[in-house]
Amino acid sequence: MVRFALIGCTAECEAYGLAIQRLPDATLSAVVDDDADRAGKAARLLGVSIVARSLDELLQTNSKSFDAVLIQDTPESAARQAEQAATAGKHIFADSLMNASVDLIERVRRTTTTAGVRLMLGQQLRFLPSIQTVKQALVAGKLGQPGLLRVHHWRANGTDVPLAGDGGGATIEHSLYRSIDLANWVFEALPSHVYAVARGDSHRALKTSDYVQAHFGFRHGGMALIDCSIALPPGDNYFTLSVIGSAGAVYADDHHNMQLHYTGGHPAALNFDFGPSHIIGQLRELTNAIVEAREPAMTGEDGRRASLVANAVTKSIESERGLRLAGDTYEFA
Amino acid sequence: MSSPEPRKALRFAVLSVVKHAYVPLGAAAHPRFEAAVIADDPDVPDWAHDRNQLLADQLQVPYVQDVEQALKDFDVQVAVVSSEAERHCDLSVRAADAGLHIVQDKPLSTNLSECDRLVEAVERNRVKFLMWNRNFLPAMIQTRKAIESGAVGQLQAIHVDFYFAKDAGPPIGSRRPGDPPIHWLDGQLEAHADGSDGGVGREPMGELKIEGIYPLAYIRLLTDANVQRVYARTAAHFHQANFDNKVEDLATVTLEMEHGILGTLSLGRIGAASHPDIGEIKIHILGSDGALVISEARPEVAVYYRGQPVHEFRNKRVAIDNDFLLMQNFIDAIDNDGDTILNAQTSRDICATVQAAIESDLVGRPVQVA
Repeated sequence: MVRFALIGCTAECEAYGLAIQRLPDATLSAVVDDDADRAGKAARLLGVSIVARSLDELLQTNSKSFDAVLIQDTPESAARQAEQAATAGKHIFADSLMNASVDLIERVRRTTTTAGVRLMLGQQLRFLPSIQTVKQALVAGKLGQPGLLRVHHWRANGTDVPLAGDGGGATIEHSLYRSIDLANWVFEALPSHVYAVARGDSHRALKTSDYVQAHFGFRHGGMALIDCSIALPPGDNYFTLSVIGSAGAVYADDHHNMQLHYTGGHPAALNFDFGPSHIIGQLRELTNAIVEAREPAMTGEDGRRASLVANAVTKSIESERGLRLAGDTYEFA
Repeated sequence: MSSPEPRKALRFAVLSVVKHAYVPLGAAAHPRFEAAVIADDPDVPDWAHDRNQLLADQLQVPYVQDVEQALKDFDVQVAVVSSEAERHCDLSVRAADAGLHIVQDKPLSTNLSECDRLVEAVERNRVKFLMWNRNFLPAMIQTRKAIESGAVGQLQAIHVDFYFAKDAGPPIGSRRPGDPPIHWLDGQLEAHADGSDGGVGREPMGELKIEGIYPLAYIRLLTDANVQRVYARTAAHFHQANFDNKVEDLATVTLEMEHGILGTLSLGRIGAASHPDIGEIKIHILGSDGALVISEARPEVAVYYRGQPVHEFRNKRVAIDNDFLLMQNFIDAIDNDGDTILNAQTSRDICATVQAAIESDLVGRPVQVA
């Protein structure tokens, strides 16, 4: 049985806690938050008896009561706590490390490797039922050689409501890094060519943009187009992904899956709710990786590669130039 | 009050119809247009003469192997040009110089300098020009109305997926060692049977040149903005004929347009297995106040039955009036000295975008559109 400690009782902690309860080989044994009320509320909700104000305190008082940590915090704080947990021999799941810099992820990776523990970064997009179906078709050879990946990833302005399972976070980087990872995952390679443009307060800086589109070329002729927006009017988000291969295609399309709601005037389109399957999927994967003593499906290396490409995207936007892969870095084409 | 005098029908000459005949047939179906003659140059290949004669028989008009003679003898006011793409502009220029209004199949040309020559001829002769397009499909009319009514506010980004789920000969990787490369024209001639011969001609054409005008015309229609810079990636990913002739069947293009509008285009001839119908054609639009997601194929009706052939489309497009509306747009431009929905200059600009995209892929950098 893998015992998880939840570090950071955010709005999503209930979903994580309930997901763990669905796993036969996992349990939630502790919650940690520097806000005592928040920690207490989470503990009562999730039926957990061990509560601490910090990871420090948990390690000092109840180190033997958990095997893995599930960290919900900013990238920098998550990295620090991940290293601390790894040094104490705990396996790690950290959602926000997907947004972290290459250096930060690499630092955490080295620590976890040295400590011999598993590190899994949160990337719920890979575990959406629709995207799992896409990957299964690819792995089964049904699509032949992937030729084109197309992603539209649109979020409503100013909302922290998670896009059907992308872990919350309303920044453009949050959407972009995860979409980039999908491209790397589909093509099982880093893009050989990168070109990107953005718009927003400054169309030459990713951080102040509310819209970015990235264009990738891959060796052997593959290509990807990704556009991310955080400027939809308040309300639902939108996500669609298609893969065209040499022998077939898959279309995982929010548009296709809308229902209609008539209340006079034009009908509204009702988006669907994936439920917790993507959260359960991730935690199941990490649990199995721990039990089976193998790397999980979403590793620190995957996060590093997404961050590397995101850096190239940023550089392309700022310079208005294309870049190409040279070794393990991107240079101007 | 007496009724206004009905306007008379305009007689048209079809200048070569070597590929699909939907352009001249679309013209012939409109009550203000009357087919008078099919004509072509005498030195075109026999297969071209055969196809011209077939349409002449169908429309019950003469076929004349001399373009200038036909234009002189048959009292026509309009030319409908449906030759190989490499001859489009030459025939259209000759028609313009003869004082004829022109309806031409896409693309404008495979050569930008030819496009410029045509634009000049159309302007100098003050004739009307319509590039055949899909801008009057029901979904495009609906989308345009939505944007014009302010549904998304100021348009900021537009993305078009334009995939034809059609085969184009044997799949890539199927050529055995020692086999010769597939001859482009031979392959196109074979494709005539199912209408997939949009690239017919001596010059191999990739999908950007063959089909790019349709989605780029959508983008132009909906944004009213020219493309200024592009970045493109292309590949021969599906079909041996494309690989052998070094032209793409899959392309992606980043578009940077006037007024700060951004966009992308992805298009390809992706193989019949990759969609249950003709292909996935979608438009995604982001604006300052909202967004639109449009399936270009709708409205559709699904039809399923026992024994249905595998390659028969399950979803049938309905309420299509594109042909009539295009010809109505054309006759309105003639009657009222107005402009067509896709004129020579805009068509030329679209060709320039395609050319820039092809160059961008070759050099691996963004390229300004000429």
